[in-house]
Amino acid sequence: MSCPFCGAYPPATAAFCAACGFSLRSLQAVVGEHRVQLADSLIDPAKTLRLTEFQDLSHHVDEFERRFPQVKVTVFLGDLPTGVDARGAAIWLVNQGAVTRQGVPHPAEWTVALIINPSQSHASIGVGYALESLLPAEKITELLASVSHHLRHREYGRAVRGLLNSCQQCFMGAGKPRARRLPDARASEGDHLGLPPMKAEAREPAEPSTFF
Amino acid sequence: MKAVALIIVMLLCPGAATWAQETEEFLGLPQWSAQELDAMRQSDGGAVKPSPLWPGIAADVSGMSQGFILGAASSQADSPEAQQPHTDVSKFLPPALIIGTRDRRAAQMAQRQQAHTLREVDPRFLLEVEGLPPGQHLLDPSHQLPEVVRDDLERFLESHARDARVALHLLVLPPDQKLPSAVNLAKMAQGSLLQKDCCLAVCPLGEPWRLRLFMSSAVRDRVPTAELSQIIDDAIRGAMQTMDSEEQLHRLLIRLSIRLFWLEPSLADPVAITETIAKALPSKTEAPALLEITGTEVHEPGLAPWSSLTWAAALFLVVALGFLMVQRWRRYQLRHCEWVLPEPPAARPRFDCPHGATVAMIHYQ
Repeated sequence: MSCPFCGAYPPATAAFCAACGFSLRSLQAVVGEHRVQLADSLIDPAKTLRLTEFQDLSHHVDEFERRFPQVKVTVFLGDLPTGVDARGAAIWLVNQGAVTRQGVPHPAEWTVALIINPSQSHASIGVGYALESLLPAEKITELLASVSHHLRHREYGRAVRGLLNSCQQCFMGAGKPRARRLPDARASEGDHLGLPPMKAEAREPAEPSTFF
Repeated sequence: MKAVALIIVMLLCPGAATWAQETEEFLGLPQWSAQELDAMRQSDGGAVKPSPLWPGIAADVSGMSQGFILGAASSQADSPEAQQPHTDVSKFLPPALIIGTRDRRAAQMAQRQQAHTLREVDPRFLLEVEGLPPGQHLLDPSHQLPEVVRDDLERFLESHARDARVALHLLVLPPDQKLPSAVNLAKMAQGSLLQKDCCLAVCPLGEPWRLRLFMSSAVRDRVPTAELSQIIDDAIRGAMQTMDSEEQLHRLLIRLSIRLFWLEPSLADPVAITETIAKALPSKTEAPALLEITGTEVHEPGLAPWSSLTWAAALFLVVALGFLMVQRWRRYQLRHCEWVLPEPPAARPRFDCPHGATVAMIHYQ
């Protein structure tokens, strides 16, 4: 595996990149070592989405997670701290994010983190170890390039929707379908009836702006 | 109470009973003695005329001449038909003619039931057809039809020719014969069939399913072949509704006449269309003036591209329908299924990242 920052090929179990010095610890030194609760799938502190667009996109992300219950998706649209680009933020979010479903911690290896930084015009996707065979770095670059025209026109809703659809195609090709057990299998914590949670007030208190 | 009152009245007035008895004797039916009856029978239709009411007169009526009573049922005077006035117009026809017609029909029915092999008509038959007068529409040189039927059909064909644009001719063949393949239809009726648009129906007597239809080339060029084929099918279907050979011809001609009238909108502005067709298709002018229409012929070389286009359209519709069904199936799967991704092999953490270190970024400005 190559280094996501400089493209060098360090040893497979190297703790840091010998060429550029990249490691999670270097990111934690900038962003912090605290873990964050990924209760909301869609976080838009930069207010780049209209209200209806935000609701539609939230529903789309929820539907994506219902189809692939192993996968956790987090979409972040906003500015990043100084010294961290979208690439580092994605890796930090995959490794420092925490998800619990039905009171059970969700394995972070199945996380997909989509970071869009409108101010710097950067977009990145980071995936956990469980998904890197389905979405290698080359494939991720290809998917991001396919929605770059939407990003250039500030159509972030369309871009996110297109990326999720592309990921869905990749996952459907590798997965096996089975009948859905409940209409809403991905219920939030404490919602044992399988009903979709209410919006922000009903969910876990999350402070998206405190991610970074 | 009424009976008691009547008895009281009769007891009080004995003259009333006597009056009633006298009235019954005065209005009674006539009664004859045995001598009177013998006298009347011995007399030659004297005082008492033969009447069905007269007892035993049936024997005398049955002795009348059979020439004026038709059918076996009417020869018995005791039957209900004999007691009612006859309205059969065949009474006024010579018995020989009627009996001959009946026998001929029976013979035709028997002949129809026998399997026979077809043979071509004699050359003399064709010569007689060619020698028929020009204005004749019913061509029956071998006199297959009785005179009455022939006149009836001829009148019908004449009236059709007066009103219709396409004249109708009927050539009647004997049941076991057929037209030779090399027959020259242009010479029929001294060439009168070619003087205007016409339709020649060739039908063996009693076998309408062997109907052959010949149309003028001008008509054939302007009317689709499928429509002409429907004419034959309709005429045969109409004729087959009866077993009587002459009635079959009646029905056949009526159906053909109606269908030819229906064709007239397609034959509008004949001069311009004929000239256009003659210019566009010079080979058509060399075709025979009368072209045969067959019931089974549906496709035409000129329509082949359209048929292939129709097939292509049908194929496209099938493909589109399949595509839509696949889309619906995928939507159904998306709504009602969830996907289980394969478990990955155990990955070695790298860059000190415990959960993942795969990332890619683009700069989209």
